Amino acid sequence: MGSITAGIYSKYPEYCKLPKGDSSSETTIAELETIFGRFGIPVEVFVRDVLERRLQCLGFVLYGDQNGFVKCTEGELKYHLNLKFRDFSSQTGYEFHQYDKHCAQFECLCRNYDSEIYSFGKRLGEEFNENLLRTAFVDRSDVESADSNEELASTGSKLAVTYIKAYLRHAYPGLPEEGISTITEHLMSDQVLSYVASNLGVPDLIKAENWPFSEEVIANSFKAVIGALAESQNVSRAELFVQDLVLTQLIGRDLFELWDIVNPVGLIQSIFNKQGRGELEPRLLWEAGSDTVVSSYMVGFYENKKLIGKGFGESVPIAEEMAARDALRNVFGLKLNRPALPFGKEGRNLNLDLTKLNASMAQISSSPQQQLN
Amino acid sequence: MPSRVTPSSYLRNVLQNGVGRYVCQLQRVTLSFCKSTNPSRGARDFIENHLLEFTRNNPGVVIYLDPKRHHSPKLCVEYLNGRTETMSIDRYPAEDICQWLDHFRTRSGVQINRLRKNWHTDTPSIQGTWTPATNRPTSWNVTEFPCQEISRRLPDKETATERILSAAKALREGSPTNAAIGKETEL
Repeated sequence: MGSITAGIYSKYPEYCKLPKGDSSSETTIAELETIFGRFGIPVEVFVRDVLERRLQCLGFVLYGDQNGFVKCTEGELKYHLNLKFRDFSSQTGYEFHQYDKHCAQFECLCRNYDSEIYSFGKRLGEEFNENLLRTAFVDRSDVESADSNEELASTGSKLAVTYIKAYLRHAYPGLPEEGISTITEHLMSDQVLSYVASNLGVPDLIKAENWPFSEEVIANSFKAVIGALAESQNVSRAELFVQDLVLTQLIGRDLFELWDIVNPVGLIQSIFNKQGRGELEPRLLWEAGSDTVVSSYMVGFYENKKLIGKGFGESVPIAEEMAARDALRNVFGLKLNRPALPFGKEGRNLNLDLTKLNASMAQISSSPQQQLN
Repeated sequence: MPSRVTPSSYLRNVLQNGVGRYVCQLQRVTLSFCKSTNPSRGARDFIENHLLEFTRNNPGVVIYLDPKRHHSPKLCVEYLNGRTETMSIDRYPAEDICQWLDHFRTRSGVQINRLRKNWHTDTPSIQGTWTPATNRPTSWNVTEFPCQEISRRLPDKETATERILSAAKALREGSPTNAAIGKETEL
């Protein structure tokens, strides 16, 4: 069963259902003509897939040429409908009451893709090559477009991963490679990238098959934007883009939350063994309320009577683990009172060495498996 | 309405905006107006005299003009976080529309709520959770209380008495030192 909706600009759209079983192009064109008779010849006509095939086979394009209106393609239609009126587009007509409710939003529906593309770059303060930027928003699931953003996405992804790692190595020289990789993976995950992209207006411009777009599609498109920027301008410009918009997501995050160390007590011990330092000795520093529900123990790790780290918890084993984590923080240079990451002005001239690596877990500890398992 | 039941929120920033670079959060504006009626006069004036300047200064904001016959004019703004705000500009002069547009441009797009506090931090405590052992030297484990040494007052600087005594000592030993005079003038 087909349907026609007209009057995308007006407050009261026309909607007519085509008779079941008879949705041939003659019927459709006849219905359209009654609508055009009431409202005049439209500037644009949006056609959805099933209808499009039917109309094309019987020369709807010709009909459009005769009457002087432009037929929108499926992709453009999707773009228009994806923006605000998704429910309405998926079940045309059946959501009429809902449509009426959102009339105010509906009036804001019609968009100009060219202007949106132009201002996307301007908003971010970057000069994009327009064709590259357009390609960056085309997902491979979009059947309308010839090319997709896969290549740009892989370029952007590689660039971003290299830069994020180099930046983190610069900021945390004591953090093992495993930690650097884990944090990079977190930042490059679909979840984080799609969150960033959604707050920069990327989903509005994406051309892809299904709405709502999956996190993967949005993240992929964002990676492609990074790739497009690198190709439009240069790599260092794209790197600053990554620094400003992706790396800032680390603000306020505890890195030990992102990089979960399973056995901190074993790890700190094995690091000290490898370095040939003295035996670590956990000692109970304080205890309070031991027989109550609010018991608190504080444990400290000592090496040759020197305090390495301390932590507290509601039981001695938990406190010991927390103390080990604190000691690891001190060893890796992740103290809670460490200086903030260099962003903004400070982050502009970092002179990062992209080839330098931090020590890996195997290099600093005698038994890295303890942590990895 | 008592403040307890009105919706409230904490002060927040969208996407750490401004830490790396500032991204104007206003994404698009739709200005609908009538070409002929009086209530839209200010809107028409705005479009003729101020709109181009606004677009030149803010290339990141897409502006749509939507002429609608015999409708009252209104401003529909959309932010990058997906929120939309609509405002009637019925019978507004062009200057007012300029100011309102500037208001929308400089906003973060987060819904305006009663703020619980005028400041917010994700890490409210630098020293961490308080425990009975916070800032407690472990030597107290083996100290017998009451302890004269620990109970001693620890002045952060020299007291007046001590200063006079040291000045008197210096006088007794010879001429007053420069240091002592310097301290006097500080008082």
